[in-house]
Amino acid sequence: MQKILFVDHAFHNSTASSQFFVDLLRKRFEVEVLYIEPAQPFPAEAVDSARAAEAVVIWQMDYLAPVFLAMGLPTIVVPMYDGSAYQCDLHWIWSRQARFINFSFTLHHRIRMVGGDTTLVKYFKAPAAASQVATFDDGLKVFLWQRRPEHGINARAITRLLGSQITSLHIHNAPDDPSIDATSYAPARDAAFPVTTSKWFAGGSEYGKLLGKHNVFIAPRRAEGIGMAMLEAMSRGMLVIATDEPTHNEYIVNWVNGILFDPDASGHITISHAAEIGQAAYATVASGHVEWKRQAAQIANLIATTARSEAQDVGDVATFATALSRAYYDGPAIYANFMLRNSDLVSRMSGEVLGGRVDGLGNLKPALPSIPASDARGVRGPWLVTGRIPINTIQGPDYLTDGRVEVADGVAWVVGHELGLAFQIDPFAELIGTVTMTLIRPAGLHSDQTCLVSLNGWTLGSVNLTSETTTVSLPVPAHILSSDCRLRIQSINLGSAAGLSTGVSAGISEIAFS
Amino acid sequence: MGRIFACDPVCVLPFGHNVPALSYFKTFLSGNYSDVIAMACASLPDKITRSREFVPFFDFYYSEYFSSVVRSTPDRPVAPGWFPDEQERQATSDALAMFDVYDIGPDDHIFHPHLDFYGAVGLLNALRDIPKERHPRLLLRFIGVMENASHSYRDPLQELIGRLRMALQNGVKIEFSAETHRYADMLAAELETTVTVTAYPEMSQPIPMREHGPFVFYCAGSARHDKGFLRLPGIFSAVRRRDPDLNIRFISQILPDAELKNHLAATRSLYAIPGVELQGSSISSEEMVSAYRRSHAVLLPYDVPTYQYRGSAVLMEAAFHGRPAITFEGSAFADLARHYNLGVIVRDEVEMVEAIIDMASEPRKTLSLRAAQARHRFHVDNSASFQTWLGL
Repeated sequence: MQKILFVDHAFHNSTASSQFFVDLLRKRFEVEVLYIEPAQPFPAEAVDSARAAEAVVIWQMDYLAPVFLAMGLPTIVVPMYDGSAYQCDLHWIWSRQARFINFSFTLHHRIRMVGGDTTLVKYFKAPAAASQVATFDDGLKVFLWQRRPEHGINARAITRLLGSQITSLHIHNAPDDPSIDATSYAPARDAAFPVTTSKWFAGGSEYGKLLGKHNVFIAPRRAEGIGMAMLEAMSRGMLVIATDEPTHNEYIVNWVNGILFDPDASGHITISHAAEIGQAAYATVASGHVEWKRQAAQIANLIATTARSEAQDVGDVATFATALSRAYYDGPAIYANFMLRNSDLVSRMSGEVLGGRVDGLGNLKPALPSIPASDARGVRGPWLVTGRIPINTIQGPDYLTDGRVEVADGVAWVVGHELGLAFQIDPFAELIGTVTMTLIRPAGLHSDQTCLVSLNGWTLGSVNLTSETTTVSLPVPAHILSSDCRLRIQSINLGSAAGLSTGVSAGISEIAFS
Repeated sequence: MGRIFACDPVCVLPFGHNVPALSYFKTFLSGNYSDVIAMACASLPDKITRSREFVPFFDFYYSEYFSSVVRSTPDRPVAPGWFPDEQERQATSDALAMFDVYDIGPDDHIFHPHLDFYGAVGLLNALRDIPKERHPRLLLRFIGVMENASHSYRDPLQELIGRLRMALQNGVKIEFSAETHRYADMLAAELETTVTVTAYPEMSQPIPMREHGPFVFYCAGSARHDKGFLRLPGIFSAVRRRDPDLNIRFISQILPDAELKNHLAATRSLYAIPGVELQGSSISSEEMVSAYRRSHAVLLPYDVPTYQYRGSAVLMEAAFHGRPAITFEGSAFADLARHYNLGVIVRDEVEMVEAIIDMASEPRKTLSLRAAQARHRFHVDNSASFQTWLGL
């Protein structure tokens, strides 16, 4: 029996969302599962496990594919739309010797168009037994897994969407970020329907029992890699309401077998034929599951027939993998820079001549006739959580739109003259009146330093850094707010900061909105 | 019995109708002439040229329309003098070379089964330099696709018609046919001569219609905007609402990459509709036949103004496979479908949804027998028309 190393994100050890795939592989292969914690150095034992395996299957962590390809191993990558939709061309080109199995139509075509060998599959659970299928005789009994309330999918938004049509609302308060305070997203106290709540269950059966008491399911995230919770609800003939993003909109046809909405824009909707939509969802799963079983039988063959890649000398593999991981998690600009610095290796591994053909963000020039990375959601920052932009992760892939920062001892130093940050707010739930910033004056300045602060193109004010630390509160006019926000800080003079070799214009220790 | 040169300078892509059609005519004409020479574009992949026994002859004049074609320019003398554009010079060079290489004379026939703008004007230019007594007989068949393919004229078809009228006045022996009645009548008025109607020839055989299982509609060749790709999500969704148990299913293609990136949302919504099978933007003839085998009828929600004069190869192909069609009123091929009872004509998408539901509920044997009768009527008429026109 062929031995497979299955590489997965440590987060899935608790969610078990990849377990069905591991079970599928175990029908044919001997599978060793290796969970990777991205914040930690790449484990040396992973290299040993890979060497002992005949093929490597990477679940979601597609950026690691070059590590195993460089080891000369047959490498199969299962990327996820929610994690990799916006990756640059070079990211996919580097892994061209891998074989991709895609659960997202959108991502499949994105990878195919940059020359990837990809197979599209569509997962479906088995349809529920007749006794578990939802009925709609008692009105709309809504189940909301409040998983990312800060992303605009929360009880308040759902109340706004469905209003008095709701017969009952159950809020399953199990957020991905346990530090989130869900009380600010709760429905109004005088809601005209009963509201019940639950928290994270130790086992799946309790969740299933609770789900079975409802007939409307609110998909809990903006975008999905597969959408297990949505598919579970569809398999029970529930009316699923989900955002109009992949993979929701790859399973749901609006008002046919579910309802798609935009949490930022959708107003009140009237549902007149919930039972028919639920029935169509059930039929979708019933027919889809038959096709999935056929596809599942082919997946093992795809894996077994994946060719070995050509081994490359990358020095110590674990060290290389750690450097790659760090670059990846440091954000798109740094990740692209890492790939460009390794462009000879990328060229050798992909067979693509790159000289002069790649821009600074890792995309080919001229652009390929491919799906642009920003197709579905646009380039937006993360949602503002607890009214703050977290300084320690400010240099990550999400917030930074312009410039570069180096974080040291809780201070984000602006490298060069300018910094651009993106974030999102829910304009219905959050009315920002003030931004408070604590700015640090760099060392070695020979004149005054003035920072110009603007939000969404509107100048909020200028801040003179006359002392080592300056805290300032700047009023934010309501008319400049939108759900998609851009904060910009610009300065003229460059100084220095301890431990940094590049010139910096300001340090930031806090950005808070109130 | 002289020779016949079946010429298609646009026979260049490994998929689509040009290759099988040229191959078909090569076989169809053999036995009626001393030799049949099928001449294709020199850029057609060698493997296909060899296997089909075509002569790779013409330069490719339409790179502005098919940028993906890797052009293979034949090494031959370039026609001297002034030309409105380089494509006309290339086409004229090719036609002169053909006359020279094959020593074409008055007993020969030059047949363009899918007339294209530059292939036609090159041929007419070459004839100007050849004594009339050496002129072959020209058989030009309009299908409404590449006759308009020039960027040098405001109305390329009118330019072509003007040049053909001038050639007729100068005594060039030309006989015309067109793929649809409407196109033939329009051309007859413009050219002031009779134009025969020669629809798509019988290139495919009847395929038995599956008795059991879901009713499947095939949108053959649907990977194009003018063939109604963007109408499909609305039509399929409306049917799905009426048929949640998936008794009716669809097979369609997706757009080519250059189009797909701009219409991802529409394509994704097709992918989301249960009971829809999506094929790639270009498929092999074997895949197409396989899809016909799995289907019971075809949907042709084509853009009516685009097909005002044009025929539909898919309609003809479906008819020969024994599959009825549903299409919009107003196109030239809708007249044909009505006359031969090749399917159902509807006014708009709402009626198309109704027609889909109605057709899927008909007994399949009834549909199959009706399709066979329609095929027979159409084939007998069309064969006779071809034979008369070609003088067989």
